[in-house]
Amino acid sequence: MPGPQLRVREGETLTLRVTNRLKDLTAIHWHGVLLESGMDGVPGISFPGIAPGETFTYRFTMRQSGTYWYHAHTLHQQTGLYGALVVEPREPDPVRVDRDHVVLLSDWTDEDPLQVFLNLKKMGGYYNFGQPTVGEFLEDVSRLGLGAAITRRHMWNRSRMNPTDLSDVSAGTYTYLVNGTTPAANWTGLALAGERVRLRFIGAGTATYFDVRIPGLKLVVVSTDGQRVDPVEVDEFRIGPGETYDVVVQMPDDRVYTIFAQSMDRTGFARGTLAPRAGMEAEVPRPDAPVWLDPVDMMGAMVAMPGGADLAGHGMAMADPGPMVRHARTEYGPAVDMRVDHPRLNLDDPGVGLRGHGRRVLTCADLHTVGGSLDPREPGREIELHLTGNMERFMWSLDGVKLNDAKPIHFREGERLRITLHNDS
Amino acid sequence: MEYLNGDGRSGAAWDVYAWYGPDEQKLWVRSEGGVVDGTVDDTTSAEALWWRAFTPFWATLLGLRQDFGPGSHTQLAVGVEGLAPYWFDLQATGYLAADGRVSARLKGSYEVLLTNRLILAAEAESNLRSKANPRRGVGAGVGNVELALRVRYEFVRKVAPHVGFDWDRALGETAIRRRADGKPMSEAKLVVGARLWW
Repeated sequence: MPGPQLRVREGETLTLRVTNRLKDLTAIHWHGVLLESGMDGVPGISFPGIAPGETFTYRFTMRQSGTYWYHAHTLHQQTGLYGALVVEPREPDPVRVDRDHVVLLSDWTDEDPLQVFLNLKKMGGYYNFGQPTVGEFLEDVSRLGLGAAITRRHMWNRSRMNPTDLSDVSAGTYTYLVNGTTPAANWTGLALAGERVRLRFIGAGTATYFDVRIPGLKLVVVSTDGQRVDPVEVDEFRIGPGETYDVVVQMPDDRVYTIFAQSMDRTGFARGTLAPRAGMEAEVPRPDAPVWLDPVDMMGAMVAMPGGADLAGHGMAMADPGPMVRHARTEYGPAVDMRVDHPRLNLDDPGVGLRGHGRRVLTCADLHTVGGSLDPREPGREIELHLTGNMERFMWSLDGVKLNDAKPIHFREGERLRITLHNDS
Repeated sequence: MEYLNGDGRSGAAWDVYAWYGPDEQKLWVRSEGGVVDGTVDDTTSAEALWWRAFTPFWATLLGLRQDFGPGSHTQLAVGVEGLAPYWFDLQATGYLAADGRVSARLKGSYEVLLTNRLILAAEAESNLRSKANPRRGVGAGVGNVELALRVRYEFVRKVAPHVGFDWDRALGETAIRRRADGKPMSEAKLVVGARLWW
């Protein structure tokens, strides 16, 4: 693992015969690729899946270029069935580089992936060994005073949420990988002095957000999810499951550099190396100290929670609470532990753990499609969806309705549609 | 599961939960009790309940409770259980026996993380009855209050040995009956055991 790196050219028609030699049904989904529904590879939605022993032939024409990936749309994704799909543009690539490496970031557990899920169903914090302790409370009392130590915990305790709930699954079970390689084994990409190197980062983890940097090098982000963006220079960026970022680095010398991708919960890291030859290694940073979620990470300016947590004095946008959202009736039930009434866009927010640490971090506000929007039409229709959940019961849903109970949302072919997703979880 | 020793008596005790079913409703089975000096303790019971989520943190319970030991009977059980603000686990269950007697069991527990693996768990329980049950040596009204402290170490989440202390105090009419029978008003026990789940 990972699966073979597929390098193809825009305009080519791909024929991929996938034979299932596993014991269970499987399926390969081409993530981010525009193709007809029957080739999309989502079992139960676009096709029945590939039964053990069966061969399915995927055939589609690449209408895009850029960095994509493929992965099993079953639990096999968690046991290594994924890989990079790199599409060279038909026209000469406007991003000129001397070298090109895929850096596929993922997470591996020795546990049965289904068992990981079952553990979380019984105990949402099963893999979180960084929860607030009595010792930390006493430290806060001596540092801030009793009142402030209690206030700091009040909103969390009252609403039965955990300020250290940064990731459902941690290095308690995961090993973080670069191109399928452990930090100790140190995947190395060659890069010589003076070369411009494109690194195609792919977030292939199951439950891990990575914060990526290469100490000593500036990262010029040129593309995300296969879409070219106006180049933006940063020190660090956060990549979530399913995302891709193309980053260009200019090698200043023949020294060796560490690609450091720490998990968002700071329990571990994936690590690789850029070096003029194999077998070299640079210093590996320690993960940053974990920080608590800020109340504004969980909610907008104001929020409705069971238990009626009053967030006055916590929200930072109290002066301008923003427009009130519409919650579906189905959001009011046992499946949803929180609703955000006045969400924030957060486009220029680097996110928890990346604020004010001195490094320039990529934000959504930095990303502009080259040449502007691909489709200038105004949306003819708007759909508002809320991402909802219940952490204690480990239930996740849209508008409070779990996938198994949900009815399809109908799109019309060719229609220009705006879907607004509100994260109420 | 634990071994207990106190006031010259020793035995084994358990507190077991099991459930089966989807997120919204489940079959819930809970049992607590013990075998002390070779006889089934008269606090021993087992319940089979229909658990139904009605808010994000609370569920209703409806089912049957079977007691064991002398004077035991079968009762209808109706209750709620859930997680209160500040992470208190609460269970309140009312019981109705065939002869019309009504009782209730209230339970609350709280966990303190000394570290992320060394955990102090405190539990309080009280039993209330509408009528006395002489064969079980209990009177009407608030019968007892029980406090339990456990310190466990989670070597892994699912295997955590513990040591602890139980203190049970008879109250009201129950206390009077116990005094009349020459039994102690309160009992203290040391326990050694483990919390296991899968």
